[in-house]
Amino acid sequence: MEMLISPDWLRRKVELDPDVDTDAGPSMAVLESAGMFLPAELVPADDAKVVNLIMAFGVLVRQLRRQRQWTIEELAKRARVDAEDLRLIERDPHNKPRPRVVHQLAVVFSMPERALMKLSGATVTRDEAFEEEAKRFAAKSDDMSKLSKEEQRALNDYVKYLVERVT
Amino acid sequence: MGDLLGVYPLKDRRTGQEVEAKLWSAIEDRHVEDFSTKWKPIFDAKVEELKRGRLLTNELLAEHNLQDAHWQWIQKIPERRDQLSWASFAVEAENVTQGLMFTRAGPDVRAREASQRNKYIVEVDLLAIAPWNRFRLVHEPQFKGIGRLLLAAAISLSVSEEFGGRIGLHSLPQAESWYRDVCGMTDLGVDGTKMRYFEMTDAQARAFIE
Amino acid sequence: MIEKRTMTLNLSAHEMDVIERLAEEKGLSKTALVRQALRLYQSISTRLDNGEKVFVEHPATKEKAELMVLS
Repeated sequence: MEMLISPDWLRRKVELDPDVDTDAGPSMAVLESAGMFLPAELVPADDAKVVNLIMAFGVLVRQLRRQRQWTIEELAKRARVDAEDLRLIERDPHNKPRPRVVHQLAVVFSMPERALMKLSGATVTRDEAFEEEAKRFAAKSDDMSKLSKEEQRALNDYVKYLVERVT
Repeated sequence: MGDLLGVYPLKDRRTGQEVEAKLWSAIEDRHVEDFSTKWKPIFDAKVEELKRGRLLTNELLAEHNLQDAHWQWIQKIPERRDQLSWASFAVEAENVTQGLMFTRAGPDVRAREASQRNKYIVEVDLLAIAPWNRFRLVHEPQFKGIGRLLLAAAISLSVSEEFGGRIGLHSLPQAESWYRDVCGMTDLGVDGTKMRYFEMTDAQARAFIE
Repeated sequence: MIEKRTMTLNLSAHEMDVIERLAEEKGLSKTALVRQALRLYQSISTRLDNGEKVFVEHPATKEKAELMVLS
């Protein structure tokens, strides 16, 4: 068989590709359960930076939900994800949400998916500015059922940042 | 026996430099050897680390059946080498196996996506990247580009079989966004394997290799 | 694998017909069709040689009939 791509093609594309695992195949799943590769749920997100990002992600999801005055159940229904997954997202910064759930949330909230993938730890980032913004945003939230004026402003500013500045 | 399909540049994330990788058209003994002697110890080390941090209990280990059963899987390889339905590929860089792929084709391997239902397709049974290149296992994965290279190989195989570049695969959860959003494959949902199944149409394959 | 070899087949008119028809149906060249056929042939043959049984299932009744019997 003839390879349809050139070395230059790979060079060009790899530059722009996200930093993410690309494993696939039922045999891969078999190998994971046979102990060759650790299944995702057994690899905890214990890296402090990732935990901070995931915490900010949880805050963002909670704020966006509250902004629309939806309950968790309602968001779960609209996004077609498990309510339990949402509870974990909003509460547990050590729980790395599954990319599919992040995708569904990006759709239901009309948010840029790449930014959310970065924030939720689904894709890896070494972006200090991004980490700083996330921490700053997370610190501004409060646990009331209705968003305060400050929280509204902080939320809108952060959404603007994710939409305009994050690639 | 395998042929050298080409030499391609991978990116070494740790140094920022390019490293030459060889793409082979068959998995050979030396690749299987690397799989057992170089890949597995890294996994084992991770397990030990998690056990030490008490994040991995014996119950959890037992529950996930983390045994040496990978040998059972390795037994399948000689049989697959003999069967025409199976094609395999290996990526080597710095004299070490960096990635492996098994694909299947045959009159029973058909597309499911509506616009190409029942057309012949190449299905990916395994696309495995070496543990030191994976975010799941190491803090700073080394080589970038292996997954993309192997996917291009699967598409090239499909075209050479006259299947138009059509490929199908089941993605691991952490790679779903890669296949759907970066590779542009159609998401056909979770199937009986409990994994999410993706397919590329002729057009999507053409777009990918552009 | 890159190196290809050539073979001449002596087939009846009917057999050629079938190959042509199948190839056209599947949008394949005759060579590609025969290669597909070989895969299936080898796969089933191996299973039968291993003592496995191969069945076909009726789509409506779900009744199973054995495909081939090893003698």
